[in-house]
Amino acid sequence: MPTVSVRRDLLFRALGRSYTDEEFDELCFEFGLELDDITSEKDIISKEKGEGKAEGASDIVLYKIDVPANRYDLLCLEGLVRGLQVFKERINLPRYEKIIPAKGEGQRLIITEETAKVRPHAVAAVLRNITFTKERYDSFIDLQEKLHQNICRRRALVAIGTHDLDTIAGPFTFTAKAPPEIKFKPLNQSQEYTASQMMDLYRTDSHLRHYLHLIENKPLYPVIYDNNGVVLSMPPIINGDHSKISLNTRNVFVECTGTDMTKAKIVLDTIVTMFSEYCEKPFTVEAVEVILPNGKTHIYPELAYRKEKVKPELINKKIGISETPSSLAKLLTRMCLKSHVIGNGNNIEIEIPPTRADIIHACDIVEDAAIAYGYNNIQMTIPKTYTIANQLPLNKLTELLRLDLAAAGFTEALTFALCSQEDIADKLGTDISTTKAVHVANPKTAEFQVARTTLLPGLLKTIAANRKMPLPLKLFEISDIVVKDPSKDVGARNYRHLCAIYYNKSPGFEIIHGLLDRVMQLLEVPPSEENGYVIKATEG
Amino acid sequence: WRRPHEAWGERFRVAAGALPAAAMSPSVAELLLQRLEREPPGPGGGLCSLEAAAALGLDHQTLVGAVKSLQALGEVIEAEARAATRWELSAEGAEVLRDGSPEVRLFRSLPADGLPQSDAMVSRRGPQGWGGVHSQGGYGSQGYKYEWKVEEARKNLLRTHTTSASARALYHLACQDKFTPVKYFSIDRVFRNESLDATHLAEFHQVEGVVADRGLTLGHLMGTLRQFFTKLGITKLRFKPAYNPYTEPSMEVFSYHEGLKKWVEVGNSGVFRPEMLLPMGLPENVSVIAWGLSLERPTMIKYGINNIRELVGHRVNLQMVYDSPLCRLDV
Repeated sequence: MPTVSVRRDLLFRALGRSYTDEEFDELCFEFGLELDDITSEKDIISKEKGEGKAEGASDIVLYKIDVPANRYDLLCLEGLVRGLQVFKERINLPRYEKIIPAKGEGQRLIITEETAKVRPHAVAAVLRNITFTKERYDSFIDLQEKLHQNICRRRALVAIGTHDLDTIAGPFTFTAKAPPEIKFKPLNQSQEYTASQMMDLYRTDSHLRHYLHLIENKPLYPVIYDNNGVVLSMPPIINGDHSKISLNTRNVFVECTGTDMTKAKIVLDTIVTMFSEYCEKPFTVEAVEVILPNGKTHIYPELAYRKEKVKPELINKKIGISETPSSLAKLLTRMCLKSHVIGNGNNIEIEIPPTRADIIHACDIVEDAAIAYGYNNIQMTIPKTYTIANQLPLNKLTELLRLDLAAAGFTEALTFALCSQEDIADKLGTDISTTKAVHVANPKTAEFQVARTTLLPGLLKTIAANRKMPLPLKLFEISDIVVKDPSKDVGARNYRHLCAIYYNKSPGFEIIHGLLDRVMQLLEVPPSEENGYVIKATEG
Repeated sequence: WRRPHEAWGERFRVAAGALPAAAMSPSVAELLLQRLEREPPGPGGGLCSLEAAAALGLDHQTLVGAVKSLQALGEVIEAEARAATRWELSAEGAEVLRDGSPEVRLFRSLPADGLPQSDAMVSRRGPQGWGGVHSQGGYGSQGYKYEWKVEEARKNLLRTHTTSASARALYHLACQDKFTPVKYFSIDRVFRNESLDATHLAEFHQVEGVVADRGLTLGHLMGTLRQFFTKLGITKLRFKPAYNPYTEPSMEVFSYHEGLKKWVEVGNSGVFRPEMLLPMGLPENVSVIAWGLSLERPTMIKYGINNIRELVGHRVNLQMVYDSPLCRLDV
């Protein structure tokens, strides 16, 4: 769940009123957010580096709000405020408008075919006559970082670049070149580097080194130039210093490049809808023409409004309420889904704005109606489903045996299904290759290299950890082991095993023999070679 | 269809002079050092860890562990990580080489006079159905609009939640000739490859409940949850909107903890999405409500246990097991 950190004072100012912490927590709960933590910069530094380092840090109160992973429109203060204000019916959702400049006057982004093998997609837009303050600027940078970490999958799918349009000149070209041929001064550096040098430069950078692998081994690296050969950025690594944004920036060129076109469009729409609030003409975005290698052109941002029709009965039925169509339309409008009743009052037309890319099916609309209604206002009912119940036979047998093993004086253990290779092989005197064990490809420690093929190591480890207990120790476990089985679709099969162990100063083979006889008696398996069980000596 | 196949290893050399004292029996580090001694010193020499592991009959990870501990001693050895890559066909690529692309396979499978699209998608239960829904949409959904890869979907994982077992059970239900309503439950083990701490282990248990019937509502889910938690002795409940990729609407269930004097999350629930159910072939008016919770967390809260290792695994204190009273929940 992404966490957004907002200043409480700015939040309440934008919301137009103050809340107590409890009141705000309640509001979040209702809306589907979680007020995870109330802290300050000073608190954060105190916790991480100790009170001494926190001297002089700000103690302005910060709210850390957890936001659902599919709500890209709530990842910044601007979006949260807008969402909450519409929810509380204090404002109407603004209408986002795309302004297409006159022919020849708009910005153009040309994509060349070299990008196809490394980072094929790009979209762009312009925020015209925007006014930044320190808070807005910080929020702008934070949103990009949040998007990078979440929908962009740590820049692998999409990378965002924002540039001061007044320092560069279009048309812009998005292409890919060999690393030694790309040379520019990256953000906040004092000299120029080639792309190859930048790979080394950023290898130790705590933030950027995680993204190097995305392009490092490719023959060509992506790069965006302006008309005069100035480098805007080398996505997904770093922007150029030349076009960096400052508090005085008035016109912003936003570009998103990536390997997933759908997400690139969503990311661009998110940034421009959130921050066009601060443009001279609020909520307007200037379009950019993107020219593909095959000559086709597209206008971005899409800022698409989509209309869906949903029957009021469907919404009522799925939730378990009975609201009138106009009441339902009002509920949906409160969730930023502008709706009104159409037909003879038996249908609702819903307009899905570009900020709600998470709405992909009627069930998403049903959920929003339920949230606006208030989950805790819905009447709780029991389904009329009539079924005859049965326990899984294997589990039923296991439950019965557990009780009788306990009655025989053995204590149950619950051990791990994953263990080290040694546990099931070397320590038991066999070779791992004979065990047909399932191996874990990416174990974090040696403790979970394989899935257990026998319950014995778990019980032995339990004894080892309880050596100080009075003797004898009599333990058992009835649980699954795993072996490879090519006939199954997942390539492995579970078997339910029973294992018992007796630990004392003297070995007590007769105790275990007795337990085995008892278990067989309970299972009606006679001691007979032909149609029952028999004990034989074994190696190892 | 192609992806780079990575093999990495470490090359290392013995630094002049420093060697640790011999241990009683040859450890992995010792064996490694003995082999290294035989190699020429300097930048051109050294050993590749992959080859050395094979020659010594050791697991590569064990050898890397020995290298790291030798490095920690100081200037005993130098090691440098290297990577080698080569291109190879992925499983999906091999499949395409053998059977043709998904487009070709669909083309070949259609009868001479065609088939309505909805039938083509439903009759092919499995990858074709889900691939279509994810990439382009279907069953009334816009879809997720990304390239769904069968190879990715076929990767074997230790399950991270028992919902995967519920999905299998629902699929078997859908394969029946006639739909019958069901109520399923499971209490079983799940696995997470995450950092371990006092409250997190690599394996723990989940409790899951599923009801599939016609006309189920969110109110039914809430009512079922209320009765379920009442049986566990939890009566004060609140529901919060949440998000799961496979349920919509989704709810987190909170209960008021008298001891901690706050609302704590006790479970997660939701109505399964049509993109999940319809490709299985379940009738369109069937809804499936489901909920889940972990076993360990509520147990630790109820018994005031702070470290999960006291509850699961081989480090559990047997005295605690001997002395525990009956667990009586709904009294």
